Amino acid sequence: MTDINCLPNEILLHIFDDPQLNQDDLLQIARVCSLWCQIATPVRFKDLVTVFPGDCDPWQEHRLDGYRKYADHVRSFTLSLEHRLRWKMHQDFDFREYSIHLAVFSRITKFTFNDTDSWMSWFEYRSILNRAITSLPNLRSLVIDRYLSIPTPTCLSGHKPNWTIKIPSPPSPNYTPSIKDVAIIINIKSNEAPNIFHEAMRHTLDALGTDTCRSARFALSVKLAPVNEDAGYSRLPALGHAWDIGNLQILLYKDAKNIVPSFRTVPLECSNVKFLALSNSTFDELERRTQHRFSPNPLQGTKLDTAMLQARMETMEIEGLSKFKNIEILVLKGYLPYGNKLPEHYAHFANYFPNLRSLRFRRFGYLIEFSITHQSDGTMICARRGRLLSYEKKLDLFFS
Amino acid sequence: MGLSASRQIETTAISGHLAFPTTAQLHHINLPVFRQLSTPTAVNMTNMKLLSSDNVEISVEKDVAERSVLIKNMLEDVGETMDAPIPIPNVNEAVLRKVIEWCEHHRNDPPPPADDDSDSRKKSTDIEEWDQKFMQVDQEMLFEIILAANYLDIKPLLDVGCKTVANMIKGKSPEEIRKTFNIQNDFTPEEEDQIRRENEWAEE
Repeated sequence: MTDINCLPNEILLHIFDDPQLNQDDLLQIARVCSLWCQIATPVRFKDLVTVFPGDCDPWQEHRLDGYRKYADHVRSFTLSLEHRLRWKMHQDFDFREYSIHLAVFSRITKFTFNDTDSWMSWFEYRSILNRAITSLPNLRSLVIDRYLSIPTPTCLSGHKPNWTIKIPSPPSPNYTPSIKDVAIIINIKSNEAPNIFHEAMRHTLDALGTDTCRSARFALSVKLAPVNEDAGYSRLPALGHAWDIGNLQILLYKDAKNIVPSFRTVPLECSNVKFLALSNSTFDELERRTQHRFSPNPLQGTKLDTAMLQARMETMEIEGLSKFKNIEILVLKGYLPYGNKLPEHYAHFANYFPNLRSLRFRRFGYLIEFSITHQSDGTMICARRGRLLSYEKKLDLFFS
Repeated sequence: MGLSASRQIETTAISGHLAFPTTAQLHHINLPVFRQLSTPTAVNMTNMKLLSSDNVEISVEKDVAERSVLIKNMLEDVGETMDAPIPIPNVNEAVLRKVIEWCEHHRNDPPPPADDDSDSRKKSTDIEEWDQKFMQVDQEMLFEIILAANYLDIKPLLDVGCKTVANMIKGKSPEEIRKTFNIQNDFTPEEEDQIRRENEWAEE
């Protein structure tokens, strides 16, 4: 009689690791018998999410015991500070303790920091990032998800009279960055969106340090609350010259009016950039401005009034665009702007990016790619390398 | 020839599994046949035979059998064709026929991705309708299919089997799980208390 006890441990592990089983299921599994408890343990703590709602001490002794006991199994650690923590923080939440205890998870490869308006200061925020990248040697992926509604104080005043830590410095010159991917999600609900965005980026990138900024891939997502829709991306300040980011993705949410002003938000040193549009509003806007209807069917395409598009491109501000070498535009909803049309149509983009080497439009299942060669006589060759891809059910917006 | 010869194949226990005959063993057994079939006049073999653990020969199309990475690799090692049945010493006829039924239905599926990335695993609710019906068997057959899929290295079938079991576990209490799978609780009351205490921090 073959029963579940006949399955080898590795198959049981495979079963327990099924994404359908949540933490509660895994806890029940661990209570079935000693063998299942042993097999389920690495799965249970592989992706550890700790939510500190503010009404408990995150560093209670039994929590710390648990962290210490199971930390070796943890590969992905998420620290989530919830709204009410703001009250707790003023009492006894100590970020210095946090920084020390984070080192327990020295084997993690992914660290997610999430706060829902915890009102921590930039001072504390930078302490966390600084500690994360210096005490987690195996860290490869960093996800920062911050919800900001008001200008954040540089440091708390009055609440912590004994607070003596200096604002942490960026990692030392000898520091070798281990982080390969950084995803920054900034949710702003404030009329001061541009200032907050600017502050958030400045503190984040300063805390990560120059080396990480240069070597890691960045995905940036900015979500503006509907109240600020009118502000749009045209009001977001340019990220400035100070941050030498090598690779950047920008995720545009539906409140982004169009891609054109977004070009201006990219740091000038960034030579590889991807724009990811979550809705077809990007192209709706382009459509409106060019008075042209694009085909809803990406395979059929339609006639493109290149003159109209050209006129639009000529009137927009294009300062700084010469820096782009590679552009990828990902459309998650809607359709490709020109369908499956001829390279000449897309080539007009290249006219405005003199250093452009490749231009890719991607939608579910479709990728149209052009390589661009600039000739010595000033002309250029735009060769299509597009192809249809197999249908992709899932697109990872951020690096996993 | 195949039936009697295959019975002589020595099998070895590795990690609780019977080892598949090595390429060398198969070469040794089938050497005269290969010489015969390697001529240009050899019959174009689209069918092949598998021999179950209870010595039943089952004819199967080659591309169906090659859903098994084990069989595919073995065929690549020994050459284009095989006349003698391939022994599958760990799988009985009923289970082998069931596995072949699955392979026939999925014969045109694209090969699974090489990387075993957990993110690429579909959620249990994503089990295809046909697969769900296919897996509506008694527990003994279900676990036999999983073991056979593991042995024959048919990862998509193994995934479907494991997802089916995961669905049987989901949402159940420890006692219900024990009852479902007939598992003995070997925890002492003290150990259960200890586990509960240890988990308090994670349950908050």
